[in-house]
Amino acid sequence: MAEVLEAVGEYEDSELSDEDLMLASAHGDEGALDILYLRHKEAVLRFLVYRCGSWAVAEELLQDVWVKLCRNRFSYRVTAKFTTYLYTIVRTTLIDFYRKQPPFSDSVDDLSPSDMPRDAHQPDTLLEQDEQQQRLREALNLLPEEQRQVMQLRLNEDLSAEEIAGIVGVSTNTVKSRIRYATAKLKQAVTDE
Amino acid sequence: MSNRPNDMPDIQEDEDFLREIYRRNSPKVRPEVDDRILKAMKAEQKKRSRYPQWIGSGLAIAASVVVALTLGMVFYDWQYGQPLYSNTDRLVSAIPPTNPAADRLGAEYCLWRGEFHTYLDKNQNAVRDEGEPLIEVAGRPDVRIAGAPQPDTFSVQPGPDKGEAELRMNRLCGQGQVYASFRLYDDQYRLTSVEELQDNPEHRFEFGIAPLQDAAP
Repeated sequence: MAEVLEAVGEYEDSELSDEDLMLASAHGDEGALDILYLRHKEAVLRFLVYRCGSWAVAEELLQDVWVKLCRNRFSYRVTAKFTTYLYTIVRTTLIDFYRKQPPFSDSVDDLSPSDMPRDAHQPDTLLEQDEQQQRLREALNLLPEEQRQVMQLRLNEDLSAEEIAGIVGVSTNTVKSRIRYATAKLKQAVTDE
Repeated sequence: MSNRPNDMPDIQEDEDFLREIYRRNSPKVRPEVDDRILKAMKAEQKKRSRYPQWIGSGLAIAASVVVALTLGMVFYDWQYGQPLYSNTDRLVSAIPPTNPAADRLGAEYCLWRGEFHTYLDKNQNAVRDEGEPLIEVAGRPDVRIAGAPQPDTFSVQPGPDKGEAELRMNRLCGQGQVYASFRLYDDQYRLTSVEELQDNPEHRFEFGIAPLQDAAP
């Protein structure tokens, strides 16, 4: 599989858009999905880790997401950004997961920032960053579910309110309202000493 | 700064601040997880056909049609529109219908009529009357024989062997019972003669047959 990653790596900087790659995969280009995976895996994993609070579960769900995407590649139509499609699958995967069993953890407390693999640069600011991030996680966890979901999509991906509305199935104005409330709460939680 | 659409400029600064913290120390997918997921995706791509699912359904339907047609060719008599190996039905249908469009059937039908113009007189004597048919076949008003009883006065029974049939009728011209029988082998034969047997109190009629290709037009 190392050779696959190596080969895919050559195309990682492909100028093809996510949407083009998705269409290419539906037409039999087996490498196209690999490129998409490499482009988005970290962001999806980050989203899942924040959501489910378990590193192991997040990795399992990451696989489910990409296998589902692979399975549904023939029905993909370019009606919105690929990330909208991708995070719709992420959301349904999470819903399926929580339906099958109680949440592994309702909080993210079990996930220490030090557990998370990271780039080791800027070691002098790591401690402070970790404290801020920990406060953000805790604050996110205290948000109502509908606000947390919307805010995570907003922070994790550069999605517009309209795109988020398409994913969660509410109006754009509702999404904006939730973002405003959540942003205010999170900022207060992070900045308060 | 974020690349997101600036659809909420009033809180953009706060969002960017939070986003920077949120994305700090982003988790990395472990190589072994990469390996596992890429393998799973490859397996999925191999498993799934690139063709739409309706292709599979279409092929299944086409296969069913082929099977049905094959069975139909084997077990269904398309000429007479009924299943094969049903001697009773076969007998009735084997009696040529009135179908002016079918020359062969028409010729056979005429032959039938010409050979079987026989009836019984008051003294139980067979009388040939070229002008009238003698028997009327149930369900087939186009095949009639003069002086014949009503269609419900005789029955059609399967013969002992495949391709044979026997036709019985009771009461002919009000002169007692008459037992008439004939044999139809299959559509390759035609009736060529009628043999009248005095077998009191029944009269037996037997019909000769000959290959159809030998029949006179």
